[in-house]
Amino acid sequence: MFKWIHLFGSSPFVYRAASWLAPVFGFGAAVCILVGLYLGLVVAPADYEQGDSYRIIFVHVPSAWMSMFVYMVMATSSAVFLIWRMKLADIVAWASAPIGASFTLIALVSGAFWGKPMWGTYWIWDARLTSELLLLFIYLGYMALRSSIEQPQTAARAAAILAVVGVVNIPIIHFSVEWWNTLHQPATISKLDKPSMHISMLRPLLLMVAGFQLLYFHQLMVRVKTGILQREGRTAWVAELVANNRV
Amino acid sequence: MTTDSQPLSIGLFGLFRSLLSRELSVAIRSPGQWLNPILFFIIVITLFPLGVGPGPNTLSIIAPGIIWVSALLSVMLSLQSLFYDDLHNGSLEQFVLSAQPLSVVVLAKVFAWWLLGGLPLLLVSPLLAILMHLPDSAIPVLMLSLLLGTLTLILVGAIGAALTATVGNGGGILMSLLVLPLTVPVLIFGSGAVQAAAMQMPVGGHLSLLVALLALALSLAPLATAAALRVAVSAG
Amino acid sequence: MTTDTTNNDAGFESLEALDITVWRGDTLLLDRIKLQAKAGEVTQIAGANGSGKTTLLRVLCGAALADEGEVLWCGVPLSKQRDTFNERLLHIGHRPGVHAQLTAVENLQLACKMGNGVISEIDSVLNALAILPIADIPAGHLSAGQQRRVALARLALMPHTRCWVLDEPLTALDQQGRDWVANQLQAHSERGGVTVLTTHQPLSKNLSGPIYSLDDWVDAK
Repeated sequence: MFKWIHLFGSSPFVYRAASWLAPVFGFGAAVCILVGLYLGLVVAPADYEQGDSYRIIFVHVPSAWMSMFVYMVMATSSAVFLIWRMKLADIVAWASAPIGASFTLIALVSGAFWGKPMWGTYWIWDARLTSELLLLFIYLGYMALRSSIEQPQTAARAAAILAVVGVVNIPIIHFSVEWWNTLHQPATISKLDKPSMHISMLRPLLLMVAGFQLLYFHQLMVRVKTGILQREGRTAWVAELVANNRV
Repeated sequence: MTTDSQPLSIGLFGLFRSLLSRELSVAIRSPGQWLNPILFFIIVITLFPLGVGPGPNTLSIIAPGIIWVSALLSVMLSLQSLFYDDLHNGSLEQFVLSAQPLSVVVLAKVFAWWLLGGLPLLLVSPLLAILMHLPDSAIPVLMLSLLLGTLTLILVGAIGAALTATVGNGGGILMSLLVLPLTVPVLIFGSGAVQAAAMQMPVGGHLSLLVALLALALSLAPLATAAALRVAVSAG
Repeated sequence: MTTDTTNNDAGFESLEALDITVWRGDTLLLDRIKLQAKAGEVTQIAGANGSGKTTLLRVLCGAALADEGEVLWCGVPLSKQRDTFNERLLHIGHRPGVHAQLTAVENLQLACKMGNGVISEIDSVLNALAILPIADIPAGHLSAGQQRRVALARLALMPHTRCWVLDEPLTALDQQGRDWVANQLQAHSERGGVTVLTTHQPLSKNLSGPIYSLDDWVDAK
C-alpha cells in the first residue's frame, strides 16, 4: 500500500502512467461527447417552451459543472502540496488552472448565447452567471500570480495558498451573489436548472457531463506530462527520453 | 544566563501593542502612504457626478455603491505597500525567525493600517454622503457598514499583499486582481446595508452578515497571511 | 523536552547540515552540502561571490527551504522544532532588519521584545558601539557602517541565544567595530554557543573553528 503511494513521488512512473492514460481518456471523451451530441442535438425532441435553444444546456451545464470540479481538484492538490510538499500535487494544480479557466469561459459564453433568445440580451446579471464570472477572475488571478513570481518554488507555494484561500471564499461569494440577485431581480427564474427533465434530454446531458469529465482528465494528463518535463528537465531519465525521441 | 527560557515577559498583548506603536511611528513619519489613498477616495467619488450628471435622484440611487466601491479601491491602493518595507529591510525575516507567532505581527499591522487607512474613510464618509445626496438617515448605517467592512477588506487584502510582496513592478495591480473578486461579499452586504437604510428598510440582516464576514476573516486571514509571508521571506 | 534543553545541553549543542541541495532555476547552487557547527566554535563558511553563502546561511537558520537535505539542531530537524529553535536563534542576515524610519533605539526595543532581549542594556551597548549620540535619528539617515552596528547590537542584547547565524557581520565596519564583534563572538563561544558566519575579513586568532569553503564543492563537482 505504502509502496504504491510512494510511486506517485516518482516522476518517471507518473510520466509513464500519464502517457498511457492520456489517449485512454481522450478516446473515452470523444466517444461520450460524440454520442452525447448526437442524442442531444438530433434525437432529443425540442422543448415545448424554449424550442431548440434549450439544447445549449448540453454544453453549458457540463462546462459549468467542470468549472467548479476543476477548482476543487486544484484547491485539494494545492493543500496536499502545502502540507506534504508533494511536487506532483503542485503539477496537478498548475496543470488544472488553465483547463478550469477554459471550462469557465465556455460556461459563460454558452450562457450568454442561451440568454439571447431567452431574455433578448446576451448578458443578464443572473446569480449563476455572475458567480461564474467571478470564478473566472479567481482562475485568472491564480494564473497571473503564478506567472509573475520568477522563482518556481516560491510561485508554487504562493499560488497554492491563493487556491486554498479561494476555496474558502467561493461558497461565500456564491451565497452572497445569490442573495444579492434575489434582492435586485426577484422575478428572474433561472431556467437552466429544471427540476424535472425528460429522459430523452437527461441521457445526452449525463453523457456530455461524463465526456467533459474525461476531456478534463485527458487534458490534465497531457499537461502533467509537460509539467514533469519542465521541472525534471535536468535529470538523466528525461535526457534519455529525449535521446530516444520518446517525449 | 538568567534570562534563559523565560516566557515572554510582556505577553502576546504587550507584543501586539509594541508592534502597533511601531507601525504607527513608521506611518507618522511617512504620511503619504496613508494620506494619499484617502485623497484618492474623495477624488474618485467627486468624479461620479461629473461623469454621470448632477441629478440628485440619480446620485442618491447610485451613492451607496459608488461610496463602497471607492472605499474598496482606496483600501486596495493603500495595502499594496503593506509588507514592502519590512520585506526589503529584513524585518520580516526577523519576525519569521522569532519565536513569537507571526499572526500577531499580521494582526498588529492590519489594525494599524485600519487606524490609518480605514478609520479616516469612515470619518470623511458623511461629507461624501452629502455630496452624493444620500438621505441623512442612511449616514449612520453607512459609517457602521464601513467600520465593519473596511476591517474585513484590510484583513483579506493583507493576504494578497503578502502573496505579491516579492513581485516587483506591477505587484500592486496584481494584488488587486487577486483580492478584488474575494471582496465581493463585503461589497454586496456593505452597499446593500446602505441602500436598505436609504429606502427605510431594515438593515439588521446586512449588518449581521458583515459581522459574520469580519469574524471569519479575523480568524482565518491572519493564518493565510502568515503562511504567505513565510513564502515571501524564503524567496529571499 | 523542549523547555530545559539550554541548561542541559550547554556545550553540547550543534547545528548540522545534511546534504543540503538548492537549485536556483536550472543551475545547482548548493550540491549536497554537509557541515557541522559545534558548541564553543566559530564555524566559517568561505567562498567567492555567488557561491551560495547567503543562501546556505538562510537555509541553516530556517528562513529558506532547501530542495533536498535537512538541517538539524541538536540532532532534531528544524522543521520539527521551529519555535524551540527560534527562541535560541540569533540571525543577522544580508538585510539587517533595521527599519529606516525608526531610530536605533526603537529598532532595538522591538527586537528585544520579539526575542526576549535585555531592553535595559540598549543604551550601554549603543555606547560601546559608539553610536549612542545618533541613537535618536531615523536609521535611514545613518551610514552603512552605523546601520550595521545597530543590527549587530543584538549580539550583546541577547546573550541567552545559543545559535548565531551571521551573514558578513564585519562588512562596512572599521577596526574598532570589528574588535567589538570579535569580543562578542569570543564571549558567545565561551558560553558554549554555536556560531556560523560568512566573512571576507580574517577573524582574530583566538576564535577557533572549522572553515568550510563552498569553492571546494564547486571544484569537486
